[in-house]
Amino acid sequence: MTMHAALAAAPDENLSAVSARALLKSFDGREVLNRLDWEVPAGRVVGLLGRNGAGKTTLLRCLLGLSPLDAGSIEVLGEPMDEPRGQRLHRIGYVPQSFDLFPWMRVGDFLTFTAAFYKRWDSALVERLLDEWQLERKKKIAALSQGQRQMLAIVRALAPDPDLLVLDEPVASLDPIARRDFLATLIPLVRRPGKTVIFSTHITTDLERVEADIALLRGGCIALQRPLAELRAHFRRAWLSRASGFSAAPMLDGALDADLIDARAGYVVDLSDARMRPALEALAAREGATLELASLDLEDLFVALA
Amino acid sequence: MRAVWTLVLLPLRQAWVAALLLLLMLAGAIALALAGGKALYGGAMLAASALWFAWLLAGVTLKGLARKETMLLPDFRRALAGAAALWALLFWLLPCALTSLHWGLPVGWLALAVDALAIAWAVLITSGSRSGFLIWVLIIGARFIPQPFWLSIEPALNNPLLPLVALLLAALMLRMTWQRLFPIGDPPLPDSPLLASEPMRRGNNTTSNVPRGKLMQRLNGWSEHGASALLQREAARYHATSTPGRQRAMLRALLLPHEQPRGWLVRWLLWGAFVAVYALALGHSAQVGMIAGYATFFAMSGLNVVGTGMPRLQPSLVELYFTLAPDTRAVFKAQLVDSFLGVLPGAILSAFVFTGLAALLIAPHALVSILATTAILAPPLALATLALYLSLPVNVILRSVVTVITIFGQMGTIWLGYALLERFGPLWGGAPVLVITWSFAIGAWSTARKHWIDSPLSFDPPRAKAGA
Repeated sequence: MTMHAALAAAPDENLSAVSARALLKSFDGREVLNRLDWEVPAGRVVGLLGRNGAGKTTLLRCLLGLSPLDAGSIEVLGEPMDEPRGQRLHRIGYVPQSFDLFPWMRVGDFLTFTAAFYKRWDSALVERLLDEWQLERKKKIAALSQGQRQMLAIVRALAPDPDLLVLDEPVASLDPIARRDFLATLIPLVRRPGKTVIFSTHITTDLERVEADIALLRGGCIALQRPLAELRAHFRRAWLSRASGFSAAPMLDGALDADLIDARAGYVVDLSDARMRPALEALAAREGATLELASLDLEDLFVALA
Repeated sequence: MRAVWTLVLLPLRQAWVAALLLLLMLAGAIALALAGGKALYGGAMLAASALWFAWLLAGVTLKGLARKETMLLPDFRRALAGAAALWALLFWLLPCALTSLHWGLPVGWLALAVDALAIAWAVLITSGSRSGFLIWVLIIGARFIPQPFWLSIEPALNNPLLPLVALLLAALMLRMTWQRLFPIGDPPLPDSPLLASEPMRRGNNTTSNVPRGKLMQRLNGWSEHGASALLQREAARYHATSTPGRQRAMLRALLLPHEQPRGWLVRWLLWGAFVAVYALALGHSAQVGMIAGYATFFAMSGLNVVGTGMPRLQPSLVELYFTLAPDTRAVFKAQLVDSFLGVLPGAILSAFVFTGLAALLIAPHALVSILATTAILAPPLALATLALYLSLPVNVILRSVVTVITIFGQMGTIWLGYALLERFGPLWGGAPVLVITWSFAIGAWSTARKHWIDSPLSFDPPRAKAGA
């Protein structure tokens, strides 16, 4: 059974894990979230992409009620996020961008303390991950490297088997082995019905590995949200070439990005728009150029769109 | 040269309100000096205060610059030396030269030395060192040193070489401060920001408040093991049966790891030695009330960690928020604020230990009355002090004002309490003290608690500000 087939069987697939309406958030007069609307269906893995400073961390913190909004409303797991509402928080796992907690505590004490509060706590998973990631229970959190702290944050977030897992650049400090281990742990988790994962990252290959839906944050809004398979199937780079070359890329309505490289005009286009292919062919004919379509990987798409 | 000027102006730029106050003080001093006559002395006093204030600003800036990253800036040391030289010229040598011109060279020479000590002290205090505050205590304590002592050291005080010794001492203090701000090697691991202070512990304003020295670190480790065992026990109890009381106990074990018997013992050992030395050096039986008052004051001094440590704890609160899963933010804040009450038993017991120790050492016959006075004074005083520290505003200057008010309020209450009890006895003196102190403490705590719960919940670390 594929992941998507498994998710299709989720009992609450019609519910939104996260529903954000007209979010406004400014810092020092600069609008970071600009009437942002976002719907994250339950049972999906969503990769949140955006350039540095686009507001990914702010968005995630606002979603979880950690940062006050200037305007807008948020529902998380079917309830307004105006108050934490007790046990709802225990259904959420959160790995912050910088893991800055109780540096004076030892790893074991921290996990013991946290576990005491949870009804659902997968001790076997904790032990396995501590062992695999070589995190010593007796070590002080402050003595862990940044990567190890991130691993500990991930262990802590996964242990209660949350229904919604929010990860803010969770693998930024991990080495490639730890990153693969993390993804190998994450994938079975998200294949279970009803589990939703949102994670922001710059490492697009990781999103490809978990077959995530892609949400692109640009200009304070979710500019694009599609399943990765759909992006792969429909998004293309179109090249127009001619012997005399181009001095500027001719206008193409509906192009997501236009560029001029080596006197060739390049466009990022969405071929799911039925008008796009005829428009490209017409432009090529008008400019006396040949049309070539190339596939795009996620990183190219991110560079083109972000 | 641009880097030098940037550093020269940095103290004034980053605290422009304080810089404005400094300018006003200097302008006032110049006006008084120009008026001449007796006003000249007032002007000199005002100028001295302004100069000390200027060096406090410089010290705060230096503290903000004390990071390994700044040392990697090209020619940072040279630029800093240049800026320091300009500041020294403006706020040390020039005033001393003016003093020499008006009052003569010997006075100018003395001013040079005294000012150097004052500068070194200002920089030491702002570096977060407790030694800086010990000097304050020494200055206060000097008032109580008997006259024969001063007479015996009078020749030394009149020695023309004394200013030179003062200059050397100032240089030594500045060197110590530099080493403290820019230590060589890896920083030690941090302890809880809500950790009661001890004389040998690094200041709460430094990155780490772990104690210095191997013995101290061993004692700290012993205390930490106690804290870890307590946390494990409390976690097991809470896991077995979840009750609000057990949850509070767990929170206390987490946030206040040294508020447990081992932690108290370590604190008593360290502060106790300090109190003992103080009592033996300065005290005699007639002064037992005063010494016990100071001992009570020392016992309460750790309570300010709630005010100073909370901002640094804020980033960790995210984790606690998800773990505790409160129904509302107000409930979360109430859980936190109530857990702070966990610092009271340690402070109150410390007051008993320190006052008892002081009484035993200098006036054993007064032990019972001293302990009775402590029993009347310490609990409400501890609660009121905690309330005041809990209400510390975010603004650095206002914080300092509230802290100073709290310290003077504490001292005043202690002296007044001792005076009333001594004069009217435990019944007629104690009853009003009990009524007044408890009324104030409960009122202050209720107000501070409500204010704290009603204030917006922030999970963000305090805004990074150079020098702050």
